[in-house]
Formats: sequence, structure tokens, C-alpha cells
Amino acid sequence: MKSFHVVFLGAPRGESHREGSPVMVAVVAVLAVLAILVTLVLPMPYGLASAADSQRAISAATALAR
Amino acid sequence: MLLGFALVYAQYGTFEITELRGKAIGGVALVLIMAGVFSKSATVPLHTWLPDAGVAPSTITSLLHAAILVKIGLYGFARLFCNGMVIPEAWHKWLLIAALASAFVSACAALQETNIKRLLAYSTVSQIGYTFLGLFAFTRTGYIGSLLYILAHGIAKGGLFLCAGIIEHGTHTKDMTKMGGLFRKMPVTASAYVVCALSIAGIPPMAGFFCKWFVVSGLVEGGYRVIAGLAILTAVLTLLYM
Repeated sequence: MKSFHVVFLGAPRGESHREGSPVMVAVVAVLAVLAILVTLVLPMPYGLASAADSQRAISAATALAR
Repeated sequence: MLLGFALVYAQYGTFEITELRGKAIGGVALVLIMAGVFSKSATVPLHTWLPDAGVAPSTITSLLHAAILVKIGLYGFARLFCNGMVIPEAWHKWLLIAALASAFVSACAALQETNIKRLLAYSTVSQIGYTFLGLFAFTRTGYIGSLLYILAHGIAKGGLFLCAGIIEHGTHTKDMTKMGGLFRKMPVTASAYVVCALSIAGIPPMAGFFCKWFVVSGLVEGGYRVIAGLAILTAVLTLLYM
């Protein structure tokens, strides 16, 4: 809250302050979208961990059977 | 760190991680290896290089330091000790205290900071401490939370450093007290900054929230309820300085 409040809110302290070039802002916009989209991959590690657990259990059972 | 690996080799006669799986590491070797891991990951008290490195060079260099370079220590720890060598139980508590101290102290430092890039660098130190908390819980949920947070933090902190670069380019200063009212002048940068900051601060439904939730759940699962409570307090501090 502190950095956002100090930097972006309140009265402007300079007339020459301006937005970056389109390329610069496009990159940060893409990263912001990625920061939202990364939420979608959150369930993936659980699936991978469960698959690894099942594989480990099968290997252990096979080893015991031998 | 190299000395630590030499000690491990002297004890077990191999550098193969797969062969070292399940073998207990000695105290001296652990301290030496962790000194390397902590200095690479800018963890308190070996963190001082990161705030200085975050300010001096170009924005891209600060981005690489904060979003990628410091993660190498975390990755190294995860490869060596998560499903690898075993750290004796007596060390777990001390590792957690070191990670929590790093997260908390650097969050307090970030609260005091007025240089936007130094603030983000201290934030990185704090979030790395948070990530270590999940790994040091030695629970599955903690591991998953930490590994996910490496990805989520890398993207969000990369975005924040690039926003700081655009702000510095547009205002010719890194001093936040000389800025103000930039939402009207830089609407796209400000919006991107807010989104990335919300993720780092752990506000739902951003990925940072779920990662921190997993880390705290992992700590509770491991029986470290007090540390979990203090980790939540550190997350609140993150919200305050962001």
C-alpha cells in the first residue's frame, strides 16, 4: 500500500512525468497478464506429485513382489 | 559451499545426488552448504549485495537479479535436500528461524525505504525468506507452495522492476517521495504495477495468495504453528510496504 500510495496517488510532483514508450508498457502489461494467468497452473504440481506418488507405490509393490 | 561438498564426498565417497538420497548430512557440511545457498539467495545476513545490485545497474539487470538469479539458491536447496540428502531434525527449527528472520527483517527494511528499486530488492529478500519457509517445513504442501512461488514471484517481481524502470525513465528519479499522482500520467504502468504488487502481497485470487497459503499450510502440517503465525504477520507487512 505504501509504495502504491506514494508513487501513484496524491498530487503530481512534476509536469514532465510521462508514460513509457509503447514497447516498454507492452512488456509490463504482458507480465501483469502472466501474473494473473499463472493462477491457472496452480493445480498442476498437485497432479504431478500425485502421479509421482502412485508411480513410487507401484515400483515399491513390484519390488516387494519380486 | 565447495568445502561442504568436499566434506560430503569425504563422508560418502560420491557427488551423485541419487546415491546421496536418504543419507544424513553432517552439521559442518550443512552449515557450509547453507552459507552458499543463503548468499546466492540473498538471505539475511548474507543479503546485503542484493539491494545494492538492484539499484546500481540497468533495470534489466535488477530484474534478472531479483526474478531469476536469487532463485538458483532455492533450486539448489530443493535439488539437494527435497527428496535428497536428509537434514537432521535438530537443524529444522534453526533453518526455519533463519528464513523467518530474513523474511521479517527485510520486510521492515522495505517499510523504511524510499528508493523504489531498493524497496523492491528488500521485498525480494523478504519473499525469498518466505519461499525458504515452505522448503524448510519439509512437508509436501510446503514444497509445492515454495516451488510455485518461485514461478509466481519471478513473473510478478519481474513486472514490478520493469514498472520501476519505466517510472524512473519517466520521472528521472528513484526517490518515491519525489513522485506522486502518476496513476493519471502512467495509467498502463500503474495498472501493471498494481496487478504484480497484489500477487506479491498475497491478495486472492492472485497466485501469490495460493502459494503463501500452501507455505503456511505446510508449516502447520509440519507442526510449526508459531512460525506459521509469524509468517502470516510477515505477509501483512508485505501488503503494507507494497
